[in-house]
Amino acid sequence: MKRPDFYSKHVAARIPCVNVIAVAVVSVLVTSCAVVLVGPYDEVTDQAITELETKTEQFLVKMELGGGDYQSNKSFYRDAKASVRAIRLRAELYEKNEGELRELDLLAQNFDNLAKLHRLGSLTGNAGSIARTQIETNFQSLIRIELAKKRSSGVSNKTS
Amino acid sequence: MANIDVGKLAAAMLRAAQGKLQAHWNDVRPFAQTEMKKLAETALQIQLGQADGSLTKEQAEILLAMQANASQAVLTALETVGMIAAQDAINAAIDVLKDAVNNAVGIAFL
Repeated sequence: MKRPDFYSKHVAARIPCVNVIAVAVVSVLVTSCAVVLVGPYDEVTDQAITELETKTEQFLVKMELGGGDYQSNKSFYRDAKASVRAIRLRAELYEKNEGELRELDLLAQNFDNLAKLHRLGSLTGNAGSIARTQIETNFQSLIRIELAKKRSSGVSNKTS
Repeated sequence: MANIDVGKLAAAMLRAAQGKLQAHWNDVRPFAQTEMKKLAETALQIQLGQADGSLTKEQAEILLAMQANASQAVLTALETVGMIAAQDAINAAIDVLKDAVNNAVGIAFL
């Protein structure tokens, strides 16, 4: 069927314009929002984790050298658990922060395990040394995530 | 409107993504290696400690639970850093695409 004259004159003339709009719409859809797979870096959380790590190391060195019993040192476990809870509350505010939340839960569980071990005897010798390595691994894992988030924050800001 | 060279653009996007992935991997690789080695050594220490009597059965059980917990922490960190690396790689590629579209259109369109 032959098209009417007005089609070839008017609509066809607009086709380049339609192409430009289509490219623009697709481009805007693709590029208008930065991809976010993990919650953002939070300096307060990072500092709180570092502070708790320092307190924990100080406590473990004190136990290793002095061999204090659980009863005289149980306030450490109470305070450490409270700190983890406070950090977790803040971390919960961000979406897609499951990795960090999981790390905090694992740290809290290992503080419980450390307390159980301490109830059995002082944290000296082989037991104390192995337990310290495990708790340090918990902290290293958390800090590794914070460092990656910190590195990433420059890229995320640029594309948002 | 200038034409976009699809081949060149795809290569540039890939380079940008690769750079981000490499940067994160360079950061996380020493951590992964050190922690995996440490976990293996600690498992051996628990086994030897129980054998030579420096660890009681109860202590060994708790330390093994701590070991399992710490192993999960390392794997969670690797998974999360991997996701952050993927996020940065995708965003770096999008940045390259954005620049290419802006150049082709001739204005800061995106």
